[in-house]
Amino acid sequence: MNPPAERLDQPQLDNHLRQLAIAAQRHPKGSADRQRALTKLVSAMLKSRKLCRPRQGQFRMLYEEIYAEALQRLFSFVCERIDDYSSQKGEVLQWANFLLSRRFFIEASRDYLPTVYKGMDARSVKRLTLEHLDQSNPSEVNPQLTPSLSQEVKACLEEDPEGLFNQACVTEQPAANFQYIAIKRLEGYSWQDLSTEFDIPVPTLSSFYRRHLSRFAPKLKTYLS
Amino acid sequence: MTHPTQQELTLPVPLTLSAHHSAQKFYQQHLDPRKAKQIYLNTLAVEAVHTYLGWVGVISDRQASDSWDPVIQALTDVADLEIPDQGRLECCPVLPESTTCYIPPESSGERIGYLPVLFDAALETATLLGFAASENVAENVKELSLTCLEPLTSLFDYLKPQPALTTQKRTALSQWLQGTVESGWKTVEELLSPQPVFNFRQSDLATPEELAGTTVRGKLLELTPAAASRKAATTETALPYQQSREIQNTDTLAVTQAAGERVVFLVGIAPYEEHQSNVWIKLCPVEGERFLPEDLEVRIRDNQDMVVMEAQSRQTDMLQLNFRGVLNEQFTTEVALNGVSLVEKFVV
Repeated sequence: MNPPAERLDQPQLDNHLRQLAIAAQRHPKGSADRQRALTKLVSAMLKSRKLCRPRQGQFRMLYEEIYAEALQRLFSFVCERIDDYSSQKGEVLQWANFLLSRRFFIEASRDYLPTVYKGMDARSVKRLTLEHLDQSNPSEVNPQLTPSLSQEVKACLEEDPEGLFNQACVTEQPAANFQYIAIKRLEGYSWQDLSTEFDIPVPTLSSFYRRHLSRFAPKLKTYLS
Repeated sequence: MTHPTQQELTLPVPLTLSAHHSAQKFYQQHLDPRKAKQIYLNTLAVEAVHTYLGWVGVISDRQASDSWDPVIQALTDVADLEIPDQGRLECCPVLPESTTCYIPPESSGERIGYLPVLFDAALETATLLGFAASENVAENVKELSLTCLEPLTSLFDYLKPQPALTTQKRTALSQWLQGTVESGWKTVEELLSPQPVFNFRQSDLATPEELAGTTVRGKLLELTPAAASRKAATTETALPYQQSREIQNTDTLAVTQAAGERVVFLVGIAPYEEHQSNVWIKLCPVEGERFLPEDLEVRIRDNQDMVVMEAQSRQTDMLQLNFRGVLNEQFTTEVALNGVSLVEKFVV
């Protein structure tokens, strides 16, 4: 088994990547074998930490975002055009870094400059981190007072205009009905809690719930609109 | 840094701003921080897997997935990703330091398999750790050990073969001068009727002699994501961008969207000297519109895919790029608006 890419020195890394590229080329486009080979190639390239960082120092606020976008385009291209690579062009990393610095980073940076890209204003979207998720209130991210969807859904379930949610229940256990279970799930109760409450195994409860959720989701959306 | 328990073949996917944007749109709809966090991470996990699959040519559909449905998200913990005609993958978020991956009971039995996705604290990278096929996961299992994963590549053992992709044909422009034009290309009159269009046939080219020999054909391009995702049965891929940019085969246009996203794309060729031709690429507004959509871009790439010319519209009524091409020279045009790109391949 090859050592992980991050522990190879440069000539070994280049050799490793070249072998992976050639291996990918050997299989027909769209074949599972090519997909496997590309997976290994992309993984090794990403983990090598030898991809360049063009224009470092520019684009202070948005650099990482632009870079992430550039990398995605780079790998999309590398996978689609792997047949274009040949060792005459140089090493795989050279080819990739050339494409990254001369083309994809530039294209990505230009896409972020007009302020609306893919329907979002890049300056108003910021990436959240795990710390944000653990500490802040979701409504602080967007200070508009959007009513919580969960609350609306809960109100719909409670109201149950046609009585559907209450009537759908686990066989011969009317208390274990969709309405009750859904509301409990919304309130944060776990499957284990519900399983203990009804003395019904978790898989039975969850598969009942899943089937009825698929059935009732369109209904719920009608009620909500 | 390698997570100590995972198997060798992992893939660190960079998370873009647009992935976070998707996550935030769903996240904002919930007041309960616990639920909101769950939805944020589920969305990022699905985005990461979707990106990876796009790289290796597997089509996946987020909009068709439960994980993209706000009502279903509210009522269940789900991070599924639909692979059309095949089934769904569950993309399970894994926090740093975890040695196991939580499997929502609701997903059991309904998935091709599970892909655990490890996040870093900054949520900049989502590392695909491997794969666990449903048939190898017992029904009651709630936590999957990360040491028991198969390599990511084993996913392909459970997917049906993808349809073979045919490469996009190249339009042979010199043939136009002989009167042979491929289907899909219309005359200017067909595209811009009933308005007289012959302001296009004037002094853009150097001399009247050349003017007499110019052949012009064009297409109506529709630059909306909705149109771009209606793919033809034989998917033609031209320039490879990530799936979310949604390349479209321009032969399968449906013309229904807002005029602001439709443009007329014209190509003209006139012979120059023995082995050369003058070529121009023109973008014009559709009938009834005065200006091109704002931020519309057109680029010409050479046979090495390097951009050799480009233009962008800002309250413009026409964009044009002229060049002289040598017989058999290959080039590609790309017309882009708001992340949707349409590509045409040509040979002079």
